[in-house]
Amino acid sequence: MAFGDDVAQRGWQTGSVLLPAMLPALAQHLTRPGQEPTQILEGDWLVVVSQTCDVVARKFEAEPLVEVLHCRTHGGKPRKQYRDLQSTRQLDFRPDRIAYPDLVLTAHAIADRYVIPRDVLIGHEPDAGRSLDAAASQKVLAWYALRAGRPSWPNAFCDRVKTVREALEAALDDLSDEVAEVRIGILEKDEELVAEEPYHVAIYFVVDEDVWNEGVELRQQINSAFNKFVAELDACDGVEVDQELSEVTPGNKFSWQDTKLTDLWDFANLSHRD
Amino acid sequence: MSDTIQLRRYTPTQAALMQKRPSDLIQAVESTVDAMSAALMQSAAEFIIQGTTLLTSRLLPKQQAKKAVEHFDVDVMVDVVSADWAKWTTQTKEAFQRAYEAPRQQTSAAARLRVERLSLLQAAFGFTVQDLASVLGITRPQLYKWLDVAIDVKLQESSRVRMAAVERIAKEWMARSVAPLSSVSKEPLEAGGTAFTLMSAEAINDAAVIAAFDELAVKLQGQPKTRSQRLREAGFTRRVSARSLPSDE
Amino acid sequence: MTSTALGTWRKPPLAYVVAELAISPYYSMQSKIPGLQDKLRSSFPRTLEGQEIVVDGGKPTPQPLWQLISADQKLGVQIGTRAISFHATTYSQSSDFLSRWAEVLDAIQEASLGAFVERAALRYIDLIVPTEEKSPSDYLAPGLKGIEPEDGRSTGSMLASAFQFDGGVVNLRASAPAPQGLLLPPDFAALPLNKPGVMLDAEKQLKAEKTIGFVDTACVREIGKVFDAGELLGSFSEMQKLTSKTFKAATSEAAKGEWM
Repeated sequence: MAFGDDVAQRGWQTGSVLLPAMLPALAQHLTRPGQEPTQILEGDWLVVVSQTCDVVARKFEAEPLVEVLHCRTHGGKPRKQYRDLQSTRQLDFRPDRIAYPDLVLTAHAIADRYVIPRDVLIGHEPDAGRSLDAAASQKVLAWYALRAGRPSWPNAFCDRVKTVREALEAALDDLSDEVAEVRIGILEKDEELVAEEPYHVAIYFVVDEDVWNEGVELRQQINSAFNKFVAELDACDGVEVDQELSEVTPGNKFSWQDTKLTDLWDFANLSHRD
Repeated sequence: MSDTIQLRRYTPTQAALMQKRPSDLIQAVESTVDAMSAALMQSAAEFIIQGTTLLTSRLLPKQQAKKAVEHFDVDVMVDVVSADWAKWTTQTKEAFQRAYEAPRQQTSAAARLRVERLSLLQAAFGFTVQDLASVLGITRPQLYKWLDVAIDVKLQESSRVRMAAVERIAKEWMARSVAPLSSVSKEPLEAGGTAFTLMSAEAINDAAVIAAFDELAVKLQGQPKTRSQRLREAGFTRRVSARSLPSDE
Repeated sequence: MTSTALGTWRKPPLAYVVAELAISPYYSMQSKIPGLQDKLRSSFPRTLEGQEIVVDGGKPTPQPLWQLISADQKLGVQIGTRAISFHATTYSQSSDFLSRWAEVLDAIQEASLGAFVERAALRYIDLIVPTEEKSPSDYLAPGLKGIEPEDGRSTGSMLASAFQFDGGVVNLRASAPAPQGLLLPPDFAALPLNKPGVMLDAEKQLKAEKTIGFVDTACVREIGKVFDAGELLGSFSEMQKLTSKTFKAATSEAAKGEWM
């Protein structure tokens, strides 16, 4: 049987949790040079975060290592600044809403990330009682993708926008991604401007075509959110919104060209200044 | 202790300082620091060193005093003096900034209703801000003020009347179509002109606008499908985005 | 003096609209009037002073009343020790009426009255001025028409109903024909505002000894809270929908065809 098939047959995939029995064999891989060995406590989850296709790659040599994330229990609710991909550094999330409705885990993107040899998986099955549900697995992967793929906004821009972050979040509270997407064009996107020089931006709320054509109430909500968002951002010191360019527009009218000139608005892009 | 409240008395300088805004004070210090000549900074540094030397010689035994001031350096002291002022301005600016970051003024009920009404017009028509401003008979910057809920705008009677008229025709459009008017608002009409020109006229002719809406609602139904509509009808679906995953709140 | 048609219908029957807040007795209202007057002066430059007789269990006592009137005399605010109300004989859209009322509410909020609002009410008075060959009852829904005894002719009828909704109670009074000489509902205290066109037409009709009618629709909602402009405006928006729904249910298809 091919190596990868063996791994797959045992049930290993993204979101699988390593059994406590595996930990002694992994101790050296969970220890960083010059540091004390990482303590995996009883309630902690050591979760496979490599993509499933990599976990079960046929040949061992193709993917000799597997990424795992050390997730610790967090007492209480997920913290606002760390939940739902608000931060690219730290993630608070619910691993399995059905089996563990009250459990919240937390992890740091790098400090809690380790690589272990993939052949360790051959001798064991994943923890049958614990695994990330589909939503949690997608969230963790999206979190890593966000960290790696987010556009780099100037630090000065981030610092200025942070002063109105709460107001901007409030403006977007009721806006779901499936209904509209917020995009921002930053004229001075590669420049660290001094205090006297404002950043010039254009804001687009790109609305799902079906919503645009069939939902007056939803459109009104979106317009309301847009008006609030633009007003708050324009009132922010050191940021000027180009009111002539900014608009609410249907998705079928927002071109590929337009996406290349703008970034997806993401509060996580501001988090690297925390 | 007196039985009566004592008045405070200030010198003119103190009074002037009390009346200045914090930002003015910070600016004054910053410009003073910038304007301070190198010679002046040097003098300040030398003065500090002389004073310290004198003090240590009085307080410490001779050998110790000599050793204490051995490490004093004028250049270092100049840096220390200017750094201290710079530190004060930075810290004060940050504190001022934090205090300034109070939420924008509380919004009034009238302002919220005004923005709600305008949002409904935007939703009904799907116009750009410029086009909606034209229909409302105002300038674009004026409309942006109207759209800002933090700004208390007192509408003129003529503006109230115009907004009510535009709301009236918005209702007529919404009774005929759930799609916004914008995609067909500038299509030529059988009777000539466009719906947009009718709506932007100084006096809105309701009958003409309603007739235009009847025509355009039919036209809208007959528009060709977009690429994404054809894809969807063929069964293609979207990938769920990460942000649409259930919240962990 | 120009008259106006209220509402956006082709031939609207709406004659008068009142939004009212019933407040807990506010004995120091007199001291608040200067501030309120200043805030509302730009929209309501004219002030009339008056008195109302309040019967609170014991002896009737006169209480002061202030009426702030717009320059065109089509809008007014009445402030008393037990109620604050906004009156209109001009009405283009419900949103426009509510936005003007919102400005009054904001002014009261800024004046920090801290009044305790017992109830809110929104009242619409519509006048039925029949065209030729029609009688006032032709404009009412069948359920409100009353009886027609053989050889009898109605010279006055009044039907009152109350409807409980989730958002409040709507009191409906339909009088068609209205008892001879009665232009407005009997217990209705109007401000001295300019009469709208429909009211002038109704008066002419009465003078010619012809019959008219009226439909009085009032939504009342218990509030029981300290004054909050935003919350109250929300209540009035909901109440407007309920009164509109009730009024439309009270009128006949023929009426709608003629008025809308």
